[in-house]
Amino acid sequence: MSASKPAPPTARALDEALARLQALSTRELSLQALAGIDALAESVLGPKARREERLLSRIEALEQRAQRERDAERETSERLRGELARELAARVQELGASGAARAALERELREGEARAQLLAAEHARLEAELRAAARAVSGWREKLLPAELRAQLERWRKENP
Amino acid sequence: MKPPLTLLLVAEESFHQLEPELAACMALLESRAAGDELLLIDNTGTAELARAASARFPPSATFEGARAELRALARPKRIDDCAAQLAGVQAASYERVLLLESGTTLELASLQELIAALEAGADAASVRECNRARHSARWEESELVLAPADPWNPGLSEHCVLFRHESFLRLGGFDPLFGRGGLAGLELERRLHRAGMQLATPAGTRAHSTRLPRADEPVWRERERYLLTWKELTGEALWQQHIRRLEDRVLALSRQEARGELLGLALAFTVPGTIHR
Repeated sequence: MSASKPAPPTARALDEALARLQALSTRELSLQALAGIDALAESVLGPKARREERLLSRIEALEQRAQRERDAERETSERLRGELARELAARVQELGASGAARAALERELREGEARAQLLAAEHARLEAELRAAARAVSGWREKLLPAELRAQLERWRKENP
Repeated sequence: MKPPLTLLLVAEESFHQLEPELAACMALLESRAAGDELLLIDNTGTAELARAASARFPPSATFEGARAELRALARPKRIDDCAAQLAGVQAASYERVLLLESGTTLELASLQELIAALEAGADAASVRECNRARHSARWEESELVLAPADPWNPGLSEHCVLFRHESFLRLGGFDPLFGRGGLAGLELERRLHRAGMQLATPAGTRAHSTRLPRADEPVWRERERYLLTWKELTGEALWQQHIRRLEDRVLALSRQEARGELLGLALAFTVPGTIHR
């Protein structure tokens, strides 16, 4: 602001201005305000500050901003892609480690099952041997018993079938 | 001995309307018994008010009886209130000048507190409480926005303020571009602080304005907010930012059919040649 003071509007002039503006439609009022802004811009920024130039500079500013936003978006996208790739690699590695562990377990399980089958077969064989041995022992025992005891045993078996 | 003061009233109304107020002011000054002066600036342009007031409150017959005196000065031509007030301060007889807006009453206890604040070193003292709204302003990006004044430090009231004669003249008084929107006090207060002066708002001081606020006061306040912004805005970058913001606002207000704010902005441009860098 300069030190020079223009004559202030009189109360009547202000009342008239308000009445004139109130009679305008909203669109006309907006255009009036935009014209006032143009005049203000020219008085404080000089004649170069016309609306067209301001609009052009604004368009340029908007384009620069849009470009900056696109660059930032691309950088973000690349960064995210890199992070995702790293995460995937780590996951794959982790999954790979888990697979190896599972394979080891499965292998152990299979070996365990085989060992169990072998053990079961061995158990069956031993049982059969034991039964056969028991039968053999039983026959020999009966053969070796005296006649009296054999007769008592026969009686007892008949009484207790 | 109490130092005398000048109570300054600028009036344009008829004597019939003003007489009760003059009588109340004279009673206030007489109760101080300090030989104060009631200086009435007749801004009717006819001098009738000055003649009638001088006849109603003539000078005391004896010096001993002069507890307070009325002095009336008539402007030969009606001028804006701020210029009339500045002329009144220039013509004041005493160093302390109480600026009382027409229609405002002040009690003796509050006046004494204001005087004490000036004696303590303040350049101006304004009442802390007033029934008219006061505002504070702060910068938000490239423009001033308003908020209610701090109740503990509400700032300068254009309705009632006691000034040192020299301080008021140095500031050039109230800016005539302000007034209807209620920001004249805020505008002067900001200049006062920028000039390194001190403003006091003593606790317990109050004034009462009988003038009703205008129905369209918000529109004028919006206008004054812009004028205040433009008075204080500096730097090309800030101006460019502000201009862009104004254009955006007009478009937004237009879409919202916010006519009150649009009117305030459009009214701010009604002063040709107001804005200069």
